[in-house]
Amino acid sequence: MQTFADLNREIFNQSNRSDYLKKYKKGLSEKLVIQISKSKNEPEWMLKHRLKSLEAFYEIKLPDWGPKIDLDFEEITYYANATDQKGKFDSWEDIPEDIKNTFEKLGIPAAEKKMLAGVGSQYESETVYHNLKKEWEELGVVFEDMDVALQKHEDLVKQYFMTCVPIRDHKLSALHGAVWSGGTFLYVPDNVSIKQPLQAYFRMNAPGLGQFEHTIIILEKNSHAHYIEGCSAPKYGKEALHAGCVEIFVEEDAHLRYSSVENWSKDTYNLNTKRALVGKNATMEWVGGNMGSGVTMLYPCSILKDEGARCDHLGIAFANAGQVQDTGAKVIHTAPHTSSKIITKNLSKDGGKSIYRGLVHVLPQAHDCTSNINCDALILDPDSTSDTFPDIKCENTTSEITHEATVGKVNEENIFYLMSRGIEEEEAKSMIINGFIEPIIKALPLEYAIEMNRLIELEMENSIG
Amino acid sequence: MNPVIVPQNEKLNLIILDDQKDNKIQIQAEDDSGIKLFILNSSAPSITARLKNNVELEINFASLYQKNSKHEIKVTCLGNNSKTIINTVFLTKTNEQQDLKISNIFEGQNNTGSITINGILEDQTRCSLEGRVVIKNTAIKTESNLHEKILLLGEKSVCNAKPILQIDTDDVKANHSASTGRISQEDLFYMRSRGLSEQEAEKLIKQGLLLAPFSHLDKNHKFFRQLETRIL
Amino acid sequence: MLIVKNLHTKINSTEILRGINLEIKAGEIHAIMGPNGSGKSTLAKTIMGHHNFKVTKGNIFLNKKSILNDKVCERAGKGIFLAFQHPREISGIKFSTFLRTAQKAKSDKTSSVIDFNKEVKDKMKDLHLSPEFTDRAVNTGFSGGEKKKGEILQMQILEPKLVILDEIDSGLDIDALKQVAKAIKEYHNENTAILIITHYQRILEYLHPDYVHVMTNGKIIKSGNKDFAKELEKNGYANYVAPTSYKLPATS
Repeated sequence: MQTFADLNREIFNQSNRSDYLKKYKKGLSEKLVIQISKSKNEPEWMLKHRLKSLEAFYEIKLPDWGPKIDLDFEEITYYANATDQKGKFDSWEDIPEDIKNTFEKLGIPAAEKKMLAGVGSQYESETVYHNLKKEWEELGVVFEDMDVALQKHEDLVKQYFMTCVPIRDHKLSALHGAVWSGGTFLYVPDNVSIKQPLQAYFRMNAPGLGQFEHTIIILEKNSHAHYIEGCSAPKYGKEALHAGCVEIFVEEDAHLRYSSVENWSKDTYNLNTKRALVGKNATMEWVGGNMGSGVTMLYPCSILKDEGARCDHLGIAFANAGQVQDTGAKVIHTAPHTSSKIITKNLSKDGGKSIYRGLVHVLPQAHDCTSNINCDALILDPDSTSDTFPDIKCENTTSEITHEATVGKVNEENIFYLMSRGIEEEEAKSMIINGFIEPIIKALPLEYAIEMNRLIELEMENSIG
Repeated sequence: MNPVIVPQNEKLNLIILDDQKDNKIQIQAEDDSGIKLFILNSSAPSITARLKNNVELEINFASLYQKNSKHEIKVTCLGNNSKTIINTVFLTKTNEQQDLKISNIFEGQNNTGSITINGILEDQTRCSLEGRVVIKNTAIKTESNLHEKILLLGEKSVCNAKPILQIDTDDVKANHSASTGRISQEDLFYMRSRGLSEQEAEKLIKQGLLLAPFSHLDKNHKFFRQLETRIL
Repeated sequence: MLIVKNLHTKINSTEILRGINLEIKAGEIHAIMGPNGSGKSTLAKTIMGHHNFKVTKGNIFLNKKSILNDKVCERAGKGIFLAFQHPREISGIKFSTFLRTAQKAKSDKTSSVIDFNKEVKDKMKDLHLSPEFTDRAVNTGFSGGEKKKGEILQMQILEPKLVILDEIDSGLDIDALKQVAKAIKEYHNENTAILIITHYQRILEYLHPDYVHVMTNGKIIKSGNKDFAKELEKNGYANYVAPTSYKLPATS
C-alpha cells in the first residue's frame, strides 16, 4: 500500500524541480520582496506593508516552545511565478497511475482531481465554477483569488488586510506579510446565506505552491457561509515551508463554518496562522483535520470580541511515523456572555508525536462566559507519544471553564467485543478509531467526511519503510 | 532536612503543621514501604518523593491563607506496582497568591497515581496551578488521573491552570479534568430549595470542596481537625 | 457441538478454571449456575477466546475440532456467539453500522441494505426496542435492559450455532425478561445450542434447560437434567456450593 509520502517522492523527481526553480533565487531579501510586489502590480501601500513585514521578520525570534524548527530561511524559494507553478502534466492522460489511483481511492470528484494535479485545462472546474459564480455575484458575494481581489477590490482588502493577524504577531506572520502570494478573498454581504459550501479549488488560479497564501473571509451582518480549504489529497508542494495566513471576520449575527484538511507532504513544515474575530451573537466554527506535514504548528484562534459571540473548534490530528502534529486551539473571551467549545481528537502511530496545545483566556471584563474543552488522544502503539498542554486563564469570577482529557490506547475489551462478532482485529480497531473521530467527521460535508475517513484508513494501513 | 529514607516494609507517618522552616522535604521509599504525609501551612518549598516497588504513598496537603505561597510536590514512581495519591487544597483571601506545581512521574510499570487539587480564591487573589503527569516509555500499564476544581469567589480573583499530560507509550490509561469558575448555579439552587440562604449554601459548598479530598481520614485525625477548624 | 475437556484457565497468575468438563449437543439448552467468582463468566470468555485468559490445560472442541488456536473473530465465524454480561460501549459507531459489518464478516453474500434494514426493524419491534435504537452509538447511553436486548438482536441477525448468554437476565425487568426469553426460545431449534449463565432461577422458568450445572471455585460440582433443574428451582443451589461461601439452610 503506497503512502502519500512515497507518491510524493517518486513522482516529483529532482531534475524537474531544479529546472523551473533555477529562475528564482533562494533566500529572502528586500530585492525579492520588491520583485514580488512589482510582478503583481500591487498598490504602493502593499509594497510598504511587505517591507515593514520583512523588517519585523529579521527582528523577531522563533518561539522557544514547541517542536524544533530546523529551517534555513535562506534556503527556501519564496516565490515562483504562477504559470510555472502549473503542474508538470499537460493532460490527465500523462498523470502517473499512482496519482490517479490515489484520487480514485479517495473518491475525489473528477474536476478537483485535475485541479490538484495541475492539469493545464481547467475546463470542468471552470464550468462548474462559472454557474455558481454568477449566482453569487448577483447576491453581491465576492469570491476571488487574493491577488485579483487586491486589484479589483482594493479598498475592501486594505480595510481588512492583516488587521486580524498583525505583522508582528510572531516571526512567521512577519515572513508571511513580506512574501504572501495568492489565497482566497471571500466577502459575503449583509443577510446573504450561501447554502453551497464554497470550496477553495474553485478559485480561478493555477494551483500554486500555496506556501504563503493569504485568505480573508468577511461575513457581514446576519450572513451565513461554509468555506472549505484544502482537500484530503496531498498537495504536491515540495517546498519546505508553508506559512499561510487566514483572517476571518464574522460580524453581528453571522455564521461561518471553516473546514480544512491539511495534508501537506511529509517533509514540510506547516506553520499556518488562522484567526477569527467574532462579533455580537455571531458564530464561528472551525472544523479541521491535520494529517500531513513533517511538523505542524497550527492553533486556530477565535477572539470573541462582542457580547454573545460563540465559537466551536473541532479538530483531528493524526501523527504518523516521523510526524509531529502540534495543534490545538486558542480562544480569547474578551466580551461577556460568550461561549466556546473545543473538541479535539489526536491519534499517533508508528512513533508519531501528537500534541494538543490550547489556550482559553477569559478576560476580567468577560463575565458570564462558558468554555468547555474536551481533548482525547489515542496512542496506537508503544512507540508513539501524546502530550496535552492546556493553558486555562480565568480572570472573571462569574465565568466557567471546564477541561477534560483522556489518553490511552484502543480499549482491548472493545476489540474483544467486536471480534466476538466475527470482525477481524484490524477492522475492529479501525471501527473504534472511526467512532473516536466521529464527532469531528460529522461536521464535515458528506464528500469530505468520506474522504477524511478514507484518508485515516490509508494512514492506518501505512507501514513504516 | 536531609532526605528521609523509608526502609523496606516500613511505614512513615508525618504530620507537619504550621512549619515556618523553608526546608525541602525529600523522601526515598524502598520496596513495600508506606508513606502518609499530612501537611498544613508549611513553608517547605518542595516535597519530592522517589518510590521503588510496591510503595503506597499518600500526601495530604493544605495551604490556607498563606501569603504568597509557592509549593512544588513531585512524586516519581521509579519502580513497579506502586500506588500514589496526592490530595491538595488551598484557600486564599485579600491579595494572597498561590503557586502550586504538582507532578507525577511514572517510570516503572503498573503504577497508579491520583492527584486532586481543590481551591478557593477569594477577594483579589491569584493562583497559578500546574498539574503534570509524565508517563515515560517504560511505564506501561500506568493508570493516572488528575482532577482540579477551582472556585473563584472574589471580585477580582484570577486562576491560571495547566493540567499537563506527557505520555510516551500506549498501554496506559490517563485522564484529567480541570474546572475553574464560580459555584455551580445548579448546586446553589438545589441547596436553596432545601431552605438554605445563599450565604449558607455557599459556605457549605466551600467546606465540601476543601474537605472532600480528606473524607477518607478519621474525623479525629489531627490534620483533619485543624483543617476543619480553620475553614469553618 | 461443544466439548470442553478438563479445561484449566488462568488470568495473570491466578487459576480460575480448574478442570471444566462440559458437553453440549445441538438442540440442547444448558444452564450454569453458581455464586459470584465461581468462574462462570471466565468459562464463557475462554470459549470465546478472550486474550486475558490463558488455557493451561485441557481443550475446547467445536464440532470435534479444537478451537484453542482460533482467534476470537474466527470462533465467531464458526458460529459461536457470546451475549456479554456488560456489553461494551463503542462511541461514534452506529449500532446499525456495527451490525451490518458483523453480518458481512460472517458471509460474503449478505442481504441488500433494504432487506437488512427491514429484518432488523422487525426484530426490534418484537424486542420492544424503539426504531431509533440502531441509529444510536453502540450501547452508548443505553439502559441495562436495552443493552441486553441489543445483544439478542445481534444474535438474531448473526445466526450463530452456539449461543452463550452471560447473565442475560441481569438488569431486566419482568417484561423485558419475558421479551428476551421469548426471542431466545423462538431462535432455538434442533440445530442450535444455548448455554445460559445465570444466578437466578427466573429465566429458567421460561427457557427450560435440558441440563443444569452448578459451578463453584472453577469447577462444575454437580450436573443434572430437568429434574435437577426442578429441584434447584425449589431449593436453590446453595446446598451444592462449598460451605465457606454459603450458609446451609437451617432445615437441611
